[in-house]
This record gives sequence, structure tokens and C-alpha cells, in this order.
Amino acid sequence: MSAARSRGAIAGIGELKPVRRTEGRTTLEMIAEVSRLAVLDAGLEPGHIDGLLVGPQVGETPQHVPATVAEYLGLKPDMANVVDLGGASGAGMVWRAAAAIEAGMCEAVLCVLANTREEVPARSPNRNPIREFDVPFGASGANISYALLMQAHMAEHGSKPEDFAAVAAWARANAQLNPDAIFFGKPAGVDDVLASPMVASPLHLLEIVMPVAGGEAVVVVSAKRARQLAKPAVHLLGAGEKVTHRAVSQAPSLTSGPLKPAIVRAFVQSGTSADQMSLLSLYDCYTIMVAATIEDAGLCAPGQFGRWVRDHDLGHAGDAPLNPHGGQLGFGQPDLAGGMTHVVEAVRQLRGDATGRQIANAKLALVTGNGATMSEATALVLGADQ
Amino acid sequence: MSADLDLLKTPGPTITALTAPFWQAAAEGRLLIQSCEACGKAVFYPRPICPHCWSDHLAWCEASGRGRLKSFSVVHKPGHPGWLPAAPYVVGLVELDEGPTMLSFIVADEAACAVGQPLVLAPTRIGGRVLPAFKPLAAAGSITPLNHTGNTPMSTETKDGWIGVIKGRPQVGAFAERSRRTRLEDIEAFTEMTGDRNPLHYDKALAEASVFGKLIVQGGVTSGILNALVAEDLPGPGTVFLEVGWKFVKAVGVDEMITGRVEIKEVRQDKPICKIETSVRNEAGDICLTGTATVFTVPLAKA
Repeated sequence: MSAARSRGAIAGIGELKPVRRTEGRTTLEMIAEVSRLAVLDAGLEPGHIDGLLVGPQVGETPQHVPATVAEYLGLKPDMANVVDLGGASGAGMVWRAAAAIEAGMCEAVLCVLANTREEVPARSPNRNPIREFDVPFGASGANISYALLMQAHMAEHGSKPEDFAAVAAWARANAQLNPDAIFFGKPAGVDDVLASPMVASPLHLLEIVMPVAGGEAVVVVSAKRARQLAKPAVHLLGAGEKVTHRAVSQAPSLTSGPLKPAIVRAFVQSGTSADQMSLLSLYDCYTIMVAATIEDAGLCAPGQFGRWVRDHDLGHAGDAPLNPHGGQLGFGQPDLAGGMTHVVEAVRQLRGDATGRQIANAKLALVTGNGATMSEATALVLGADQ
Repeated sequence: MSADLDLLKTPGPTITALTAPFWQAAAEGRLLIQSCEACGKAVFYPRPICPHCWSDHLAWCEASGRGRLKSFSVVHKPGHPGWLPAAPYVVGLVELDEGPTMLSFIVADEAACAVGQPLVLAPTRIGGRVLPAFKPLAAAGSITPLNHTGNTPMSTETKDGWIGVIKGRPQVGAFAERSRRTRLEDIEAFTEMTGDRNPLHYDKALAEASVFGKLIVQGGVTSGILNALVAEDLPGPGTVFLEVGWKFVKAVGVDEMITGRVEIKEVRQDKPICKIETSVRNEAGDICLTGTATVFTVPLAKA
């Protein structure tokens, strides 16, 4: 492997099989279940966990989330915090955990995100600019924001609906090898995607993630510690982050996002480049997000993602494996934990543990996270143990 | 888009003191943005400091009302149920000639929209208020446009029931909040008024052993903050409750800071009656009381 320095390692992972409904359950219960899986997987005892990173919990625990989770799990962490970067929260947790360990604040950090899903989802009343200046004009929710990004891409680069639909079709195809995916046993081709209802033009229903309930957790420790533990260590070799705006109207660009500088930083830190990656574990809330990330990662020229997707095989045995777990478009999006699925799958692949969909000789993975309206971005380069 | 946009039950803006001039101008069919006196850049949305240079010298100025369609979407499945009757409708990102981009409603159908096309301000009544919508520059006519004198066509036909109301007709989306700390004396005063001597309010040991786990104030003490809000703040002096539908979802104890909130949801033109959303929260932010009410505001202003 390259000479990149390990900045810390992921020693344990946990994942709950996504479900559509969880009436009567709480986020804390889901957090407890998935945390247990991750700590068991690492071969650690609960008493070893001395760092805790959690996400916001709308409708359940508006404040004091780390203390609430720590108490529930019986932890007394030396470092605890909320990471509130939407879909970038999972990736954002990983480098924060490693940084806290390097700073000497703690030794084993549990990073956990989970969510319930009831018929009427909890909403938090906003009193901020996006609520005041976007919502009254008919633009509530993420679908419209991403539709605006997609329309701009089509206008600027001449990309076609079928280019975007191909991204969704690949996600569904890959999900057929992941029995836990919500769309396991339900493939969908380009024609199916294009025939699905228009939600907000030019965005079709099957280009949008299915919201589910679930949970994802990882345990981060030092590289040295990880090598003493049960499972093969997966190293954090580089990271980058960028936050540029909240509302789509305030985006500096509609066709290139903050992932671009975040990915550059992750590559520079790790001394790697896009063409060295064994795995692209790219955040995919919508097809346009994958398109923009392929271009922002430098895998192709701006505007050329459609051709890039046509020219490559994105399956686990292909020449450019992209989201072999199905991505969130195939696996389902367990709210903020959805972003963490890209971290967890990268760990499985780099351990050589991805039964039924293992990438041969997987060494390096690019993991991306994206929040709000292509606003919050975190990129990680993860590497297999030597 | 066949529904009457003005009749939609869509969420209005959450206006603050800082942004009020923007919405006041919008109601008059004008588009006000800020201009930085230090760096010269135009600023949207309104802020106390310039996001480019952090100068605190921002001045309101009237925008040209011209812009360019940066992107658009025809919304078939709205994110808010209030917009369902209007679907499909068009929202767009409007790059104003002055520089900033705003999201707006586009008064046009899909065939009339193209990225890059010039737009012009088209104030439009949506959900009971005038919003700064836009339309393609070349397009002839628009839906329920506002004439630029600032008078809505409707107001000449319907009598204004808010004449003489001290604080005037409230805007949909306007809200007010008020906080106070509950005291043991509140319980005694309420007993004095009503004769309510429920042991939950007086017997500390019994109350602590109950489901509440603490001495609690009477529900009337909790809801009373809403009386003060409507009578003092919004809609203001002269306001009485006609109807309330309240759920008391969490008990309030003694020595707790509670915050009441009212938000205007619907305003009748012909009578000084509005529907409001009401809530009372405790210090932790938990909702203690939630529901809606209809209020009537007696015109008390001296002619």
C-alpha cells in the first residue's frame, strides 16, 4: 500500500437491517442495538468506549443528546459531541473521532446514528432563513432542491434523463447482492426509472432514496490498538470537509459542490488519487448527487458523468465498483445513518468481509458524505491494513 | 395550475423585526433587498451584517425586479400539503440583476420556462399574502397580479373588518412569544379566583408520589400566558378568545420558566377574526400545551 500515515482506524462496525416502520420504538433503542453490534464486532468491552459521537435526534431528544445516549448505554465518555452535518455526519464522525484520539482525549470512540420511522415523521419547526425565504414560495423539502440542481446540470452540460436513470439502475442492480437492502429482490432498469412518476421535474420517483428506519455504528481507535483487535484494521488515511451554504438558493454553484475541495484534501492527505481507488462509496441521496460527485472527484470532466457511467461497470466485479451494497438508492436511507452506510460498506470491503459482493484485492476506498442541499461535505480515504 | 393561489393554506414567512421591511414592501408589490455601503454588494436575504465583508452598514434599496432563471422545477408532489391543490406548479432560482439569487414562485407553466431566460417581478397573491413571484419577461399577463399602487384588487371589493383595531390587521405567519416563571403564588391566586384546591397543587408529598412527580400549577396558570399574548402582543389589545382547542400534554411545575407562542394562521378580511396556533413550552423546550384558537379583536382605536 502507499506510504500514507494512518490517522486512526475503524475497528468495529454495526448495521441494522432497514425497515419501513418502527411504530412504538425509540431512537435510543435502535442506537443501543447497533452500538452493541459495533462494539462486539471490534472485540471490545463497553467499558473500553471512552468517546461518543452522536447525531441530532429531531422530535425525541432536542438537546443533551450525547449525555442522553451515554446514560442509556451506561457509558461515561471522556469526549462526547453531536455531529450535525446531515448526510455527511457519519463520515464527519470518523475523522473527528480519530482527531480526538490523536489529541489524547480518548482511546475508543463509538460513532453511532440511528432513526425510527413512524407514519407521521417528527418535524422540528424551523425559524431560520430557509423557512422564511424558501418555504413560502412552495419549496419545502429536499426533493425540490435536488431537482433544481439536476435541471441546472442538464441545462449547463446537456446531460439527459437516461444518464441519471442509469445511476439509479446500477444502485438497484448492486442491491440484488445485499439481502439486507430494502430493494433486494426488486431490480429496476433505466426504463423503469424513467417510467416512474415525476416528483419534481426533472427528478423521477426512483431517483430518490426510500426513507427507512435503521442504524449504523463504527468504533474508531488508534491504528496500533486496531491491529491488536479481532478484525482487520481499516485505516483513515485522509479526510476533507467543506460547508458552503444551507438553502439551494444560496449555493455558490449548482453543478459542483463542496465535495470537490473536500475530496481534494482527502486525496492530498492520503497521497492518493481517484484512479487508485478500489471502491467508490459515494453518498447517493439522489441520482444527481452521484453525478455531481463523480465529476467533483475528478473521475471525469465536468458534465461527462453520463458517459463515464456508460463506459464503466459499477458492480463489485467491475472496473469501477460504486456502492456495492446498493447505495442508499438500493439499500434505503435510514435518515442520518444513511450516510454511515457508505463508511460501513467500505470497512467490509477493505476487510475482505463483503460476502457475496467482495471486491477482489480491495485496498483503498473513497467515502463521501453530503448534507442539506449539496451544502455539507465530508470525504474520507480509507485503506486496508498492510 | 388551476387552483386559486390566494386560497391555498400554505405556510407563510416567519417574519422577524429585521426582515419586516422586506415583507412590508412585498405586500405592496415591491422587492426590497439590502446593499452594503462598505463593499457595494447587494445582499439577499436580509441580514444585520454583510456576508461578503461583515460591515454592519447595510441599507435597504429597491431591486430592479429583473433577473434570470438559473434553474427551475415543476413540482408535482409538493413537500407541504398546503401546496397540493396548486400542483403542478413551478419554483425557480432567480438570479437578480443586482447579483444575489432568491428562490421564488414562477408564474408560468413548464413550456414557458427555460434556464437562462430573463424574468421580471410579478407580485402574486399566494395563501392570503402577496409574495414577490417572478414571470418570464416576454410572457403576457400573469395570474392574480397585484397592481403597483399596492392596493390588492380584492380589498376594494371586500370591506376591511380590521379598521379601528389598535395594532391593525396581523399578517399570516406573524408570531409572538412571551415567557414567565411560575410561582407558588400563582396556585394560590388561581384558587382564590376559582376555588380549585386540587391536592396536586398543594400536597407536595402526594404530588411527588403521583404521575407528575412534582407539585404542579393549575392548567389555567399555564394557558393564562396565552391570554396575555393575544391581548398584549398579537393580534393585540382588544383580543378575546372565541374558541380554543388545547391539549395539555405535559404538566408545569412551580418555579419553571414557561414560554407561550402564538402564530397567525388565517386572517379574515371582513371581520377582525383570526385563527392562531398556540403553544406553551417549558425551559427544556418540551411542549406543555399545544393547539389552536380562534380570536376576535375588538376595534378599540380612537378615531
